Amino acid sequence: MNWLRNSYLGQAWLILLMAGVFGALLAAVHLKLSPRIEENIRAEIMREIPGLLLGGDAVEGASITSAGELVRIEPASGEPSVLRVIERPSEASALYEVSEGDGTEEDQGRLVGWVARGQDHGYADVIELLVGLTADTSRITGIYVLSQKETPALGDGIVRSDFRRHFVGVPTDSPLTVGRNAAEAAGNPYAVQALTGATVSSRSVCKIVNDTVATVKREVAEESEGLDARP
Amino acid sequence: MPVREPAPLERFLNGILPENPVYRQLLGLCPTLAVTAAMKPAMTMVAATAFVLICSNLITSLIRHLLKPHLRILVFTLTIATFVTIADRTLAAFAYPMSKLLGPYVPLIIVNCMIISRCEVCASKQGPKAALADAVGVSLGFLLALASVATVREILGNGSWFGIQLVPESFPTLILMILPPGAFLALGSLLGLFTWLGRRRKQRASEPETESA
Repeated sequence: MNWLRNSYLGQAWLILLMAGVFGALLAAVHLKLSPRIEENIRAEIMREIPGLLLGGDAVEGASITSAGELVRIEPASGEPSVLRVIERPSEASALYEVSEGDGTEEDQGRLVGWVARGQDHGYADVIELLVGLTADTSRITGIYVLSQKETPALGDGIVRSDFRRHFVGVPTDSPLTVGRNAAEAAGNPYAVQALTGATVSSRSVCKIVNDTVATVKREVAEESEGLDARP
Repeated sequence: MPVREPAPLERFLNGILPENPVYRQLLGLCPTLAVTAAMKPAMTMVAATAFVLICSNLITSLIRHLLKPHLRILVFTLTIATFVTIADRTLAAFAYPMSKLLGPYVPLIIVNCMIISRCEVCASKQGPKAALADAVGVSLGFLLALASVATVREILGNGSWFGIQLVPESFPTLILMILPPGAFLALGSLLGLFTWLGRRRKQRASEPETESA
């Protein structure tokens, strides 16, 4: 029996057993909680879409509520408006077509833009972004970090508005690059200045934006070609 | 001669002040500095850490006779990581804004030395009763530490406590206190205060003995 006690199995049986039991426990927790977590994420996406497409200043101080496909924006002063958000099938994690109208079934509304959900590996874990695009997909209207676990005080700076501001209004006809400092990024509309000490996180964000923009542009172009070709 | 292990009540009381994880052992300093800008995130962190600590201590204590010395750290880490993931997912499901606010600090509970040290010092050597008492006591000690640092920072930096405005908004506040340097200033000052109080108590306790001698 000594050989069994000294074998890998004899030494590690407790760890293997615990890994199996804990794995099953985590799977059960995931199954139970993931619908609720997805619901929370969807509510957050709906809340962020107006700011991404209309600009942060346009919705500052406004009350934003969502019900189903409709997002109602009530500014502190002025007329309230309604956005209709329709999720479209896409290769990106999710693609939302956003139009502005009165919110009634008959009103198709005016296309305001597109918001896509994209993700990829960052420095520490997966970074998930929302990328806003104009109706003709020619410019980025803004980005929002949906989830990240980057290094505190370094990589987690990607959530700050001063970093995200670099992406607002950037044309989409060429992929974005990362400049290591202000001098490298200056004068180049396609260059984003990297966060100090977090070049990997900055590059990851740029890669996600580039991939997501390419996917949305291709899918929107394919759809409009399909519509044009119809008799 | 076998070493006498403290009784459950002793473990419980030791965890609160005499062996306070932050003020006496300087463990768990990362969350103490990072999430104490306000009381709400600090208390959420305490609740998540207490849940992980209690569950890990209980599981480790129940399997303590099966632990092999060279593999025990692996078992502790596996146990702690499981309960941290459960805490993280539960926060994301039921307290989503707070989960976003705490960000990577909830997953970072896995590497909080305070928890692994309790598994090593108490739970791997004593029964579930002592392990539970120890975990609850240390959690209360952690609560005391984070609440004190967060109270100082939120009141001085924001003029509020638990989000309730205590001083008029026109009253000047020290913004520095809710920024990272404020965490070091508050923790350092409170650490100095606790050490000074501890020394003074010891001195007072030894004075009658000196006088009678």
